Amino acid sequence: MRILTLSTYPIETPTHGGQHRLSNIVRLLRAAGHDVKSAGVAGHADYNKSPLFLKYPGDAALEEFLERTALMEDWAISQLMVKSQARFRALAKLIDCSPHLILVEQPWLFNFARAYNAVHNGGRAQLFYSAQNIESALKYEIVRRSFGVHDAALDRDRVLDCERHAIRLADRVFGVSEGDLAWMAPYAKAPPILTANGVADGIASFEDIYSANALTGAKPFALFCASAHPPNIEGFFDIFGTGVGCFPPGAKLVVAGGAGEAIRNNPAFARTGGVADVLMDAGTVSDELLRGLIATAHMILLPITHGGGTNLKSAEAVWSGRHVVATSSAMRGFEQFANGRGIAITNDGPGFAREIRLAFAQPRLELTVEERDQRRVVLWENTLLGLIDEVASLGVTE
Amino acid sequence: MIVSDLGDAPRIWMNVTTSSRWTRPAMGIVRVEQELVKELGRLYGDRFALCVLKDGALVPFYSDTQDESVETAYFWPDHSRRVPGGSAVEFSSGGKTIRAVSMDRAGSYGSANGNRTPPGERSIGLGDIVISIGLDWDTGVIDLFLEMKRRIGIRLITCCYDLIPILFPQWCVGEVAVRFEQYFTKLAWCSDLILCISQQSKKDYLALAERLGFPPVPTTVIPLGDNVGPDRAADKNSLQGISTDVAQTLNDAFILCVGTIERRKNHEILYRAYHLLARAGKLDDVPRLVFVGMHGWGVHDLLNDMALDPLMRDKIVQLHHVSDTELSLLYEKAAFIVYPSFYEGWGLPVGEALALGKVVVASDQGAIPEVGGNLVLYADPWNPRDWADTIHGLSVAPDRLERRRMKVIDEYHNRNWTDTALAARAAIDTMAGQSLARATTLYPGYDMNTGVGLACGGTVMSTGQAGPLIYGPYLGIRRGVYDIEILYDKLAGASGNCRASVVSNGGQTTYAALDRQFGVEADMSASLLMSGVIFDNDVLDYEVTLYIDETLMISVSRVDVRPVFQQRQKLLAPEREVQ
Repeated sequence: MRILTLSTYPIETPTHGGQHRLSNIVRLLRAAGHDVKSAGVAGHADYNKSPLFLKYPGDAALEEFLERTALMEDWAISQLMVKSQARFRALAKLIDCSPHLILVEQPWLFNFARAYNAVHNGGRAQLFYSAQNIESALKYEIVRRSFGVHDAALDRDRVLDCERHAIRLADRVFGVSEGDLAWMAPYAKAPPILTANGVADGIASFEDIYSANALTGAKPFALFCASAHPPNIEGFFDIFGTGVGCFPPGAKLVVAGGAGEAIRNNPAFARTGGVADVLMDAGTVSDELLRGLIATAHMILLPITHGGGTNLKSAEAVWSGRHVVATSSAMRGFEQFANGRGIAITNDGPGFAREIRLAFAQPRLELTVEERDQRRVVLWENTLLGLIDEVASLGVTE
Repeated sequence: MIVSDLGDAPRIWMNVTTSSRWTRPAMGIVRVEQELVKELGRLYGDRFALCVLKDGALVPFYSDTQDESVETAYFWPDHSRRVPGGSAVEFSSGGKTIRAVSMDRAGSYGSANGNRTPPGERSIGLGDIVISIGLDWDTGVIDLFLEMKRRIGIRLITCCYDLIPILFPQWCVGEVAVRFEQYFTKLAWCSDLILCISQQSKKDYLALAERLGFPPVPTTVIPLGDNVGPDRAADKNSLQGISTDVAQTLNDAFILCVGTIERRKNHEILYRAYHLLARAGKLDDVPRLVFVGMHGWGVHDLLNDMALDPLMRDKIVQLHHVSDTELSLLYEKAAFIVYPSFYEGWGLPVGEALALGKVVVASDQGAIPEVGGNLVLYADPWNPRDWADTIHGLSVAPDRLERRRMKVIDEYHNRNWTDTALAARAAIDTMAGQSLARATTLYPGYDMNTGVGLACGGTVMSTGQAGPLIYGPYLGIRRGVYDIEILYDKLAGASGNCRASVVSNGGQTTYAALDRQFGVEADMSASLLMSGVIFDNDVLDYEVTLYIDETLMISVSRVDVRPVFQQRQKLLAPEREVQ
């Protein structure tokens, strides 16, 4: 089957969670024998070039649809791609593959997909909508913190229209948590299908571990993997904004991903006692280094207090077998592991401090074979099974 | 001669770095440090010793010999001047590669730089108790404590006077809050006990622990003494040695305010109260107001206002460099005492004034009500009208003032520094009674070194090379008998040999060794146990090693060091005579 995926980010070198999710969807669809192409529009100027992607349209182009485009670039792109004939034609020209199935990751390019299917594809493709979040609720939270409740409400309503539209018109709808499925179900043609976020299995090599040790000095450390996505930064300061006294002398908090720079540049950083000594910003790391960091970490932290959907870093933490200290928001979709050995759920700074101290006082966690088997459900191969099966059930062959 | 003159009892050290560098009359923290030195010295006798920070090490403070290397004059209750002796602990090698440091005959540690403890003097040893209650945030000694705790297992007692720099940074110099948060965090991680000078400071400290997340350390409240010692008591009938300024002040009635003139002490509200009284035409009803204390930070404008205000007519006087004797006289002769501080961890002048039978008008903030109870007249530190009314009320009603004075004399129970020390002693004795030979778990990846392996978290894995898989940790260990167990996982199919040993002194002294051959059996989790390892003396740098063949694929997850129970220790290692 020829399958086209549409997104606002390329996936050749995935860094953030959305890219990892889509790249694993593509990997598994290909493994199932399908011919998959990934296309779209870059939602940010920093994304790498990709053959089937239009470059970021630029703020000026997006401002035709919104006075303030900051934090709303994705929604503005959704408008641009159907209202600008030139942009529409440009992306349609790149695609040119007569797909049997178009899978739209997030709602932003769903209208484009419908128009493309109708105009260039004879309406032959099934349209799948794969949601990563309740986007309208998430948008409200993000915009509110920067621009206040008035702007947040307006933007939430814009996004709500967009995502409801995708849910209503998609042939199949997929979501990442039971909660998200329940929210989408009333609008969907058929019951939405769970495709939780997951993690790729991988074993750290000696070289991966050497690299990690070179960074951390082989000292005990807690690992926080996160992008610069605003909820990650807000969550960090919600939990650690009053101090990091729970880290024993010499222990570090290693931040891997864009979150580190965003945390250091946040005005709250200078006001947080001891954080400059404790935090080690690893920046954006390679997959190899990330494997080494996970293998050598004493614990993994998930201080996520905002945002919907499920966090694929949570799957990574569950699968790592390390101690995990997480908020209940971060464990959304992974509730069955909340009582797992070495996993502590707590939702405020003092709770995190207590659990971090406890974890550092214990040996590193080593899972038993049975515990490891129980956690296999978080591997992408298992979390995306519903999607892969649903594609197979379409029964389309060349 | 037995191993230690003091037997197994740990010595109790007091870090007097702050006092040794202080060049003015003792007030506040310096006074507390010096009073406790006197009292604990009486309580513990030979077990009690002094130390100071010098050249990055804590060294004994042992003789009366003049030594120009001591930076400053040293005011001490008995007016002696002591100087640092030999280095107590040598940390110059740093990290995990400390070289062996020889022990002196008393079972403690001389430095490797030749600056040795003189005969008969014992330096800080394994498991000794160190009390440090000075201005430790200024000396950098906290990092040293962390290292000494790790290396030689000192038990540390520190002090929380107050959290003013964190709670009220606006009344301190510069951006102090973050710095003090870091200080208190380190303090928590290295202290075994924190003395709090009031219930208020304890409450503030525990709230800070909750907010910053550092571990809750046991706390003991030691209310401070307020007895003015014999060295401070004044001869009420003699003005010998009294400055002209003070003598002139004593000629007329006056109200006294003691404390550094700084924003937090809130002298400003007294000026405003006097200004209000002047505007109301009541200034002549009240005595002069005398400020005794150094100029601190942030009061330049206040001092200008007081100097330039035409209504004041020298009604407010400042006295500086006041000796203890002068201060006692001022307390004695004052009509009453005022203390408007926004916040205090205790409020020593309030207690001292009450102990002398003086009426006190004070702010009701911080720990001041703990000191004064219902014997103090409280006023709102934010309301100058309140202060003006209270001061005026007492000044125009001598009968009322006298009744208050008699109430203070009848009802105030003096606190003395001996009680302060006894409160500390209860906690110290509990600590001293705890066994020094404690079980330790080492995580090789964090606590030890590897020559041919790879640290992965706390575990060290072999990589296919022959040599030392683990070695270290070069820490101190109390004499006694121990079981030392190396826990490992071995991969199926790998075979080879290994040799475990326990050594010290750069490998020159061996305490135990164990060889093991492995076949190609299945995966296994097991251990190498060296039981009954005897350390017949305290050792500063014990080392556990595991050498492996290149074919042995093994990972070591931990090393347990467990003291064998006491009865067995006595059988195996009776106390030894040193020749």
